[in-house]
Amino acid sequence: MLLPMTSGAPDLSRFRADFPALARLRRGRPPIYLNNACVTLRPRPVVEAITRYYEAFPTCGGGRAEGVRHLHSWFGEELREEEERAREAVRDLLGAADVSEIVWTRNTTEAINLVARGLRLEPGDEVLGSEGEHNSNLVPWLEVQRRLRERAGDPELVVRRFFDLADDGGFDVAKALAAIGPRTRVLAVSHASSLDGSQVSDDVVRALARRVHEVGGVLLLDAAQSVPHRPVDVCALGVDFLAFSFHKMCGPSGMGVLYGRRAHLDALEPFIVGGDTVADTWVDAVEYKAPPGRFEGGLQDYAGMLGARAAIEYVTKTVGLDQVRAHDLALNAYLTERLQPLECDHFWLLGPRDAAERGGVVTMASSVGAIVNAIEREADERHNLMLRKGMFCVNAYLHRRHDRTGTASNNLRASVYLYNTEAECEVLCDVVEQVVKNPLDHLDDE
Amino acid sequence: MAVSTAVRTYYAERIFAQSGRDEAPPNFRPLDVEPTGRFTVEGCRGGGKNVLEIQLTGDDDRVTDLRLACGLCNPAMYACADVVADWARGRDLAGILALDPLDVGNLTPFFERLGGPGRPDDAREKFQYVLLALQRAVLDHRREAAPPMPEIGEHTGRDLDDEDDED
Ligand SMILES: Cc1ncc(COP(=O)(O)O)c(C=O)c1O
Repeated sequence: MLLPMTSGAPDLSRFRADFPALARLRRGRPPIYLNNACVTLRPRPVVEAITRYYEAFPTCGGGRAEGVRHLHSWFGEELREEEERAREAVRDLLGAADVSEIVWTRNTTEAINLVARGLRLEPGDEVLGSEGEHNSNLVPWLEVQRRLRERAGDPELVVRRFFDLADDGGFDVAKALAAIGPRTRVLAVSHASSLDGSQVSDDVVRALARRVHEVGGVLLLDAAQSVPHRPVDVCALGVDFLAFSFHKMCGPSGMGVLYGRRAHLDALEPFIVGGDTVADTWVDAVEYKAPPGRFEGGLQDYAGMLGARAAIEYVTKTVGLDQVRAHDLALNAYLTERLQPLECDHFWLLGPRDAAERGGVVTMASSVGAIVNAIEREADERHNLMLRKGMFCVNAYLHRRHDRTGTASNNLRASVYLYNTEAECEVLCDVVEQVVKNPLDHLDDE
Repeated sequence: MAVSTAVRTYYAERIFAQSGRDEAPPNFRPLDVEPTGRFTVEGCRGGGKNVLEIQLTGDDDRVTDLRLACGLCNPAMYACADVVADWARGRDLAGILALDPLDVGNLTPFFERLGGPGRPDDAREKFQYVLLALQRAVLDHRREAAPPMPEIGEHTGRDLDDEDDED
């Protein structure tokens, strides 16, 4: 039975024992890890799955989905089974129609680059995103813009357009819908923000998909911050492409996924080509494999695939995504309730006021870097509490909004995951309270 | 490392008290026009981005305006940059370039503007960083090549007045 904490969060504390990193001590204290929007900790089953590849069948793979039929190799056959089960697990996680729609990538960034490189965009086509996209969903499109400018011989050509977020940083669906126009070939937006956690609801995603399809464009969802935290069904949402990374959901580093509707993957040009992407070659010609094989150049991270499947099982079955989400929201409600009253001219929270609109993320900002430095330093030195400071790869948005007041980089993010507890959140709130109430007592020469 | 009393007092009154959700202290607000000279110095340990950017406008003779940009992290950097900005605004370019910031004796007017007590070493180090950066921003304004930044000794936490007493 799940015992509620005072915050109302389901008690997931029994899972803490699965995470070896939580058993470490420094200066006699365990870690408090609140940097989950960047990378989560990994549970033992994931580590064991990764190790299993190296111990049991450390050979080269190539599953049926990539067009390999017979291996006649003991280790190879076993690995192929594992690869296929891993791809099926991702298909099921996302509600995709077929395994051929699941492309392994190194991470979200690579997945978005694959789409940006592979779509045959022409001068005159436009790519639309919000002002608050992560660099990984901005820079690949700016690169497309640069190349199309060169091609068109027009240094002013606008390919990547953006629409404003709401004043509080939340997603403004009216602005997004209004920005979609006849030239919009791609709408590339994040499902949840890495800066402040603000979420785009499923209804809004569906509305965006409908509108962009009406003008003949595609919807790419940057789901790096959503897939680890809530059920995501690509068919129900109507998205054409979706990208996420496993290291934000208890999985291995260097493993990500591009989901693409089969018709779109068929039309996408391969990006990194060579071994394993081809059905056959001749001295002057190449025949590419069907998707997803044509997008997976060279031998793959098979250990990572095993780890990815173990992570999916752990998060969705052992724990359960609904539990993860309820737990995120309850802890964030607690954090928000304690931190919002501390807001003043020198300290405030970013993003929508309602914690439920920010998933498991609470980002603090200050007029003076000394305050966020002090919170970060005291949390680390006194409590082994890990946060993330800086611009969280949304530099463009922060410059646009906050350069005038010099506060663009004075941000400190706390992000929770399934193993965090209310007691840990309380420690953070106590540190913040001490610093914010007496900031000049916490100045340090750093 | 402890922050000296002089820096702490200046920071509290001139930086912290003048910063808020919608405002930066005056010397840290962006220029309304494109700067004609700029330079970025890496001068803080740890902290935020570790850089201070100086942007200035000028004519053939003088600095007409200048502003600073940094993460408002290091109190000494803040205080010293603020002092130097007030000193440099309207000042003749030749005068700025003639100063040798590495000679601690030349820093007396800056310590005076910072206010006491003493002449703390944390401020000495940051005055040197900011003045060297200012000179390079002036050279940038004049489209002249700047020499590389010299090494600046780490501060020891001592008060320079104590050192003087020992001589
Ligand atoms: C919203 C969002 N998009 C993209 C990325 C990039 O992910 P990765 O570094 O795994 O490629 C991140 C990572 O923080 C993110 O939060």
